[in-house]
Amino acid sequence: MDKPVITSPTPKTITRGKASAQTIIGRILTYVILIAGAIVFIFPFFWMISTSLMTRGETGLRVLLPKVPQWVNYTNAWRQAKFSKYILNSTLITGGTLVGLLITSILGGYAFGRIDFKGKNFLFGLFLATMMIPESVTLIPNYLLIRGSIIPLPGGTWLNSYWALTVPFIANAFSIFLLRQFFAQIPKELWDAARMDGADHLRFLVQIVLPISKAPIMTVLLFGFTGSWNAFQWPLLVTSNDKWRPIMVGLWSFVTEAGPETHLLMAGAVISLVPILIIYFLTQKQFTQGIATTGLKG
Amino acid sequence: MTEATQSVKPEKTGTTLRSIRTKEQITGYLFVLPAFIIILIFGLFPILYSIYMSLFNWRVTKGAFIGGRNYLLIFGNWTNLLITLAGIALIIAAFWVWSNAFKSLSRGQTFARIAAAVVLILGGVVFVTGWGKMYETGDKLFLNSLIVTLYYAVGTVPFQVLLGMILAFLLYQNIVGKDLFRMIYFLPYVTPSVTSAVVFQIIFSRRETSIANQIVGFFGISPQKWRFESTPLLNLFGANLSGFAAGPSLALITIMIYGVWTFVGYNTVIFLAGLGNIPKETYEAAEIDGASRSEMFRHITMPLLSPTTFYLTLISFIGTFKAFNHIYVLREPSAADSVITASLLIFNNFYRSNQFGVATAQAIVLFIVILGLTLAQNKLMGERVHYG
Amino acid sequence: MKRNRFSFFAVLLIAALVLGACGQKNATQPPADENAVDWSKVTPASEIVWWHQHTGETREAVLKTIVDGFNDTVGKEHGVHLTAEYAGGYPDIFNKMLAIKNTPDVPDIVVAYQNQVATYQLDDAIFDLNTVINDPVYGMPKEDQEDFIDAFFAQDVFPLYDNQRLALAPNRSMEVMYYNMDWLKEMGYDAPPATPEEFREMACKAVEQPFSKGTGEKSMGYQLSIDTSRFAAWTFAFGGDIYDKTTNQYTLNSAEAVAAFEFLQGLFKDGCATLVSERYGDQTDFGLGNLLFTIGSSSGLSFYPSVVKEGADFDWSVAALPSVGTPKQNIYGASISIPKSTPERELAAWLFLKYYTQPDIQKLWAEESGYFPVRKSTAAMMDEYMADNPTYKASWDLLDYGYFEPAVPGYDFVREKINVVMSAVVENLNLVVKDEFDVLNEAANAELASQLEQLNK
Repeated sequence: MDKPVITSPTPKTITRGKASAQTIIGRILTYVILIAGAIVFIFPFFWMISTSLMTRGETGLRVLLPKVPQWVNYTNAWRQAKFSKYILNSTLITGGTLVGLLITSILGGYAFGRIDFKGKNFLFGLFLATMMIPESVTLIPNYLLIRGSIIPLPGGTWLNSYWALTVPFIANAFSIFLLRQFFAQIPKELWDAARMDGADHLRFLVQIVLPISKAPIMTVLLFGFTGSWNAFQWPLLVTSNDKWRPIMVGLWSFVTEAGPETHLLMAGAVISLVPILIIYFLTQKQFTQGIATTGLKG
Repeated sequence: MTEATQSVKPEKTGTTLRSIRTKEQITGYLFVLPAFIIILIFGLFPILYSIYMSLFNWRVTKGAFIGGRNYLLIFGNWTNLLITLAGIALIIAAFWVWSNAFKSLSRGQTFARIAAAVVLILGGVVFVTGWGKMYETGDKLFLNSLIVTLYYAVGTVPFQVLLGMILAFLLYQNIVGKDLFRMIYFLPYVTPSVTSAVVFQIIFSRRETSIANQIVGFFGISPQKWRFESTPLLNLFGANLSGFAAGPSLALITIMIYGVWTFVGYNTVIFLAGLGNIPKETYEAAEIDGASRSEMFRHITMPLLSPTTFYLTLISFIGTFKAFNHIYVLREPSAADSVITASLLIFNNFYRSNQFGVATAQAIVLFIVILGLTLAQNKLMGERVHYG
Repeated sequence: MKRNRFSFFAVLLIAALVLGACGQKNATQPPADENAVDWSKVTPASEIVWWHQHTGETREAVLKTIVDGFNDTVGKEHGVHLTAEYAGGYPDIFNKMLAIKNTPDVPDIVVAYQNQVATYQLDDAIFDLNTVINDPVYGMPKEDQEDFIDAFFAQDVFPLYDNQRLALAPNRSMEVMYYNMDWLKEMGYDAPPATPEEFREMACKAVEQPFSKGTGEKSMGYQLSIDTSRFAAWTFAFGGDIYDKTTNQYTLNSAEAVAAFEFLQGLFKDGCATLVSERYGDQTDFGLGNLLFTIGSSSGLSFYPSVVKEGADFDWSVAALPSVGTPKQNIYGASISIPKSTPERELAAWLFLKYYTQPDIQKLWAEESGYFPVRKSTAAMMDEYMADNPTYKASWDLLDYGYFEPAVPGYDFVREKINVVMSAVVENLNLVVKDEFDVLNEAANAELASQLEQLNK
């Protein structure tokens, strides 16, 4: 990388000129692709919002836009799905899960990515292996666990409790894997320097690694939030009363035996999407705020 | 959790170094402990319990212990399984031969290649024989479902990862409305499948006037049945193949499109994080040295992105192999068995037929298949990943 | 002294006998021998729980009225308090029950379809109502038992399990044919088709002569939606059955089933019928005036009005499926069962079952939910409602022709298979219906045999 920096101005100008034309075409192409793709990707979301503003009859008639937007659907959906109650539940559940998830993933990702300990690869493989089994068969054993039939749980049974909805999800092999990949990329020099200054792994992790790992950690946070917020199957299984039900279960109340009340279902779905989009904005802002230097020069 | 600070003094004797290493090991274990406890209980226990269930004649009531009989239902008999495994072993051996054999001889590489090819062909033949025998005497439905699962995985993962990467590159630059675009591409991932599936049903409806049919009509293709079409793709184009070679059905392809559409956003977000992790200074230094855009791409971006690419490929394969929800919501009886992946079959056996023993045995076999594929991927790709 | 020793032993013996007898009375009764329970000596449990699958504001309001009503009357009388809980859809409740049946965690009352009950009973997990229904103290009087619509009352008796009565029906629905009356009139007909030939004639004519208020999209006579309930409904309409209770075998390849589907194949061949292309697509096309006939559940009666009104807005009604001979309507519905637990809980649950199926409660429930009540006397009370809802009355009149799908374990699995074959024979019109159904029937009976194996353990 030690090439002499002497270049004659003309070749560079020529290449730069060429590059401009290419860049313009490239940029136009980029926009075309992005816009076309965006239409494809946003269409279902658009349909969801449109349907949420239709009357029940209209939803059965395959129209694209409602004649008169039925904003009342949102208030109806909110009330019928008991969102006020369930949103509180969802917030507490997701919040608790995220705290646990961040702790286990950061510590675990760091250990697998930067510490050498015996059996590391085997243990990591074991973690990953737990994600390889189809959910159909893990539901019942986990249900039995939560019931307290397998190992004694504090409190007897965790059915209908906050713990059933959070504890199983505060560690996740994929999150650990993701952070492992990012933490492993941190230059060894940084760690050596920190060690010289007398820091141990924990101090290094908290003071140096975390601040420069905003992007992956925000990613774990985002996907952890989405997973917990959108969870449906498990909460339905372990709750039989309203005490800790999250909003996704409330959404299900619009799917009646005769058929879904599609307009209310969509309104409910839009409402439940809003927090996810908020979190998305918050986390992505962290990404795009510019990449902190890695301190290599230091 | 604090440790006494210690300074590293290389001159010290081995005992200090050893105690440092021990302390490091303990730190490692302690860091991993919280995750380990949770994953042990809620991740590992279900697998062990499933193995337990698979050893019994367990339907609605727990029956007698029958050992491997539920597994035998899948394979026909143990010989078939051994033959198939031998085939796989030979194929693996071929790779080893390719890279390691005849190193010392001159023209060693050519010998190695020829030898590897021979072993590979032999392995292939043995494998196909074993598979054929299993097909005859074992569980046709399950074996077919494994093939469908493979189709689904191979048909979605490359596209998901590639499109995710391309989008991440496009969205990493300074584009007007960059944030808006990023959010739009992320939307499918967070849209509940109850809504996105309905929309896909409408877009890919078999009506002549559906959006999908209008688009292919533009290219002169007659209206298709999409989710209802159980004919393999190649046969639709006029071929008359059967079995594995005919490829996935149009119904399965429609579901694949749905899968890719959903997960591209996930991959894009992670790729963006990966791209953002590459320090600007590296690019700047290279640019000063006169590196071209494509050179920078090849020598900086790709290698530094490789840990992310590796991660996404690996978990995408694992995810698609056990994918259930996306296939379940778009499935039509008209598509018959062509969209029944292994996880769907296991679901049917478990929850509809309540054959707990048989279903868990199938789940364990699927688990082993996924495990094997992951190990293979790790071997093939893992070594090319460039960390830091 | 000898006499002291004798009396000592006598006392010991008597004490032993008394203690032994007391001990036996306090021990839990073996579940299989419930006939021995003396209900007059049992105190109903004080807190019981009902797992149901009803959602939506209207339903929940009615349920609350009913549950509160029970708690304030019968409940108060016997010291019982009932809590109703939404526990998921039918499949979710089924999965939970499979995990906890025969444990104390079971709910006291649970909704279940007959085949789900049949599955539970493989493990002897459901309380047999026969042990209490004729009890002098807590039983149901003969007049009340006879007030139940016969077919409904019989549906929850399981020949597979020695005719145990494992549930009680609180409501029912049925398959009906929806038809566009205005369109029929336009084509020159004044009544819905009564026979398959008439059905065919009208459906095919509809393709040629679109509805005047239709949207101009391709008009169609009938759209078949793939669901085993349609399979059964068409087989019944052709005079057959899909299950033989005497031999406990499926008869999916009966002559009538084959005839029904050959008939449908004919309709497809002539372009007078197609498959439903997306969920509720038939409802949509019907509302738009592009589809003449649909066949589906009577619970759709709550949806069709708004779809039609905002669509092409025409006169429509429901009728029995076109039949060969006397109509046989496919009637179905979940019943409520009592999982086995303790006599106290079972008795308390039974009190609610009686309350829920009382004629006046049935009237309230039917009118709010749109289901059909199960008591003959309730029907008499619903004149006003029937007058306001002529389509409901039209369906109600068909209840006499009730017929049912089988109540056997593994039925859900077989339904999947039926759906696949059903769509196959109409997608590929070259398939021979008889051959396909033969294979299907064999597979269905194999599944049944494998399920019933569990009974012989």
